[in-house]
This record gives sequence, C-alpha cells and structure tokens, in this order.
Amino acid sequence: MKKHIDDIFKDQFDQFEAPVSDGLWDKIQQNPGWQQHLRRQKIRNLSVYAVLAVIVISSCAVLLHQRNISDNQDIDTFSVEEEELAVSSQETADIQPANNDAMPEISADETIVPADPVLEATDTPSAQNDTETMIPAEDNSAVINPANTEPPVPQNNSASEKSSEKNTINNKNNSNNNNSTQTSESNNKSNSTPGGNESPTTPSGTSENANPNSSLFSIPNAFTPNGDGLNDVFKPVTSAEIQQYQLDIFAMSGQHIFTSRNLEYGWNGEFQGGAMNSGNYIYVIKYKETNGREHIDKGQLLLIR
Amino acid sequence: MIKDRDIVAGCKADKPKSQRLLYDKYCRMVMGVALRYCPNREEAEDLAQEIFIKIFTKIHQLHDEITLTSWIHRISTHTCIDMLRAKKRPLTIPYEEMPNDIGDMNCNYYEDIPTEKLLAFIQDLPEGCRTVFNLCVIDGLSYEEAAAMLSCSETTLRAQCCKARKILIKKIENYEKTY
Repeated sequence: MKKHIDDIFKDQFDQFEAPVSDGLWDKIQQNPGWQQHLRRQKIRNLSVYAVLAVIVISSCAVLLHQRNISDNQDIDTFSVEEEELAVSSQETADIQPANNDAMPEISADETIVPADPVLEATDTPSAQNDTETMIPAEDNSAVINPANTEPPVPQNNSASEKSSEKNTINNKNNSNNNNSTQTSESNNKSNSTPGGNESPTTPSGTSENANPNSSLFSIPNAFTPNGDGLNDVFKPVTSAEIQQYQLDIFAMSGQHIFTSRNLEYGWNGEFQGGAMNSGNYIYVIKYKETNGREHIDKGQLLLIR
Repeated sequence: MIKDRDIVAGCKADKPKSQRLLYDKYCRMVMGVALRYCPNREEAEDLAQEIFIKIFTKIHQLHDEITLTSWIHRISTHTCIDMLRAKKRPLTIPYEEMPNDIGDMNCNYYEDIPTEKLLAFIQDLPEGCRTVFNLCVIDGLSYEEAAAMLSCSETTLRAQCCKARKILIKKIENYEKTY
C-alpha cells in the first residue's frame, strides 16, 4: 500500500504527545533563566511594597504634621482665649466698683474687723485680703510716690469687696472668734497668693524679682501684740541662709513704721512708743540668697489687739 | 476540571499553583514538539524547560485563552528555532547536496510502524532537514512563513524538505523490509 510520506508523518504527529520525565518540573524550577525571572519578580514586588510603604509612611507623616500644627493652633487659640478671659474679668472688675461703694457699709456690721475698718478709714485701695500682687506693686508706688496710690483703686476695691463678701460668709459661722477669723484670713491669703503672683496686670513695673514663688520665708499674716506671750511680735521665719536681710513695715497710708535688719528682731506693734491700732499693715522683706540672687517679698499683715 | 481561563488568569498573576496546573496539562504536548525538533531526549527536555519558562514569562501577552493550545504550540516551535539558531547550526545545505529530481514521494506503508520509530527517524535527520520537515510538513507552515522564520530562501527550504522526505522514505522502506 502506497502512501505519501508527508501524510504518514502528518497523521502520526498531529496532536503528538510524548511522556515527560518526572523531574522536568523541578528542572524548570531550578533553571537559571527561571530563577532569574523569579528574582526579578521578587524585586518588582518588593519595589511595589516599598513604594506603597513610602506612600503610607509619608501620608502618615503629613497627617501627624498637620495634626501637630492644628494642636499648636488649638493651644494658641486657647491661650488667646485665656487672655481674653483675663481681660474680660478685669473689665468686670472695673465695672463692679459701682456696687462696691455700698457694700462695705453693709458688711461693716459683720465681724470682719480687719477688712472693713481699714477700707473705710484709709479709703486707699489697700486691697485688704486677697490682692497680694496688687498690694506689693501698689505698696512700692506708695513708698516711692504716695500720690500714685490712687489710680488702682477701683480694681482693689472690687477685689477686696469680693474678699470681704467671702469673709462675711465665713465669719457668719465663726461669729466673734478672732482666731477663726485669722485662719479664714490665712486661707484667703494662701489661696490668693499664687494667683496674684501670676497676674501680669501689676500696674507698676517696679518689682525686679518677678519670681516670688521662690520665697524662702514663711511669713505670718497676723499677730497679736497684747502681751499674752503668743504671737506678740511679727517676725518672718526662714530656715535658709540669707544675706542683707531687711524688714520694713508700712501703714496703709504709706507711712514707714518699722525697719529691722536682724532676723531675730521683729515688730512688736508699736510706733514711736505708742501702740498701733488694729488693722492691716504692709511688710516688705528684702534679702539676698547666698548665690547672690535678690528677693523682695511683699504682703500685708494683720495687727489684732 | 479547571478551565484554561482560570489557569491562564492564575499564571498571569504569577501563581505557582496555576503554573503547575498549566504544566501538568500541556507538558506532554510541549514535549512532543520538542522531541521532533531535537536529535535526542536530553536536548528535548532542555528545550521543554525553555519553552515553559517562555510560556510563563510571556503568558500576559496571551489575550484570548481559547487559543491557548495553538499559542503554546507556536511558542514551542519558535523556541525550538531560536535554540537552533543560538547553536548556530547551519540550516542551509551545500549546493552539490541539493537533490535535482523530486521523484516519487510515495512509499510502501502498512500502518504498523510505531510512532516512537517514526520519531526516531525524524530525530536521526540532519539538523536542517529535521527543522524544515517539522515546520513545513508536520506543523503545516507554508514555505514562505518558514523562510521568514529561518531567514533563508524558499528554495533552500524546498531542497531541505525534499532531502528529508527522501531520507525518511528510505528509512521506512528499510523498516518494512526488515520486519
């Protein structure tokens, strides 16, 4: 039987399949060309991941940065708000004095002996109970130039007014007990002192040492020079080593009453041989730390007969 | 049975599992092509490796998975020719070896020659004759296409093909005589 040679092979090898040895797949996997291809693929994938990571990280960084900026802005606005609040409180304080004129007379009936008499007597600002910072500044100005004591009056009045109100509340319960008034007094003071220190509104810029937080003295805010052996002498106490100590006492009118350069020597409540009346007085303590840092502590004290 | 479409999609995503599936499905066909173009099984296996690497790396160029079989076939033949070209084996034959008569291309054939034997006949052909016979006769390319692929003249291809046929007829008739 004759057949064309092309047809023989075409018929036989069309769709021809041959068995494959088992190891061929492994050989393909280990083929250098295939390994190279896989490596390239891996690098491509890695680079894709790297690009993604860079994008994610950078976007995170941008977000964080923006958040920081916004936080700062928040802080800024917050501080601005605080300032505005402070201003507005001052304004209200300025507005209030209208009522304050009437108030002292009402509270005069009350047991707060210290605050009201002085207010009425001296008419000077003299911020009786709370406004520590006002007082020192004012006090300086009083010492230097007594005529300047007038301007800050309204603020001090309002402040003292508030404090006197507080006192009236406190003292209603405590009736005529001097000691209790003293303690409430001291409470008021201790409360008011830190706030007063931070207050940036002191009208006179004469206080060189603007860091009274570091006062080394513990200063009593009242004493009773009645000869009973208890608190007969006003005397600041310190445990620190200090130099060039000087204590000055002023009346609310600005009159210089007493001075001492000795830590052990305090004021006994007398002036030129006569006993001073009950009321508030100003003390100024100047001293130097051993490291040469100068301090001026100012405040008021209460003399109780 | 997993469809070609899924396999191709997996291979395009470089998934090793899909590549293994494609290999399992088409390795016998690829091996059949490779064996025809190579003188022995070792070379054919090397060629098959190359073919599969080419398939896996170029599968993203395949747009229609319906043509996957013919695409793999085409890749296989092209890879075979590329490899032969890389070996720089001469495809042309000297002029004096050119057969001058075409003669009778029919031979006695009783359908009893095993495919392995015929494959061995092809593999025993000289390199150029084998390639041209595979391309033009078995894979059914026109002389024009083959000439473009092999970058040689059509006349040379025809001569090669004629030589291959003559050798094969001789081998088949010898085989029929002996058995």
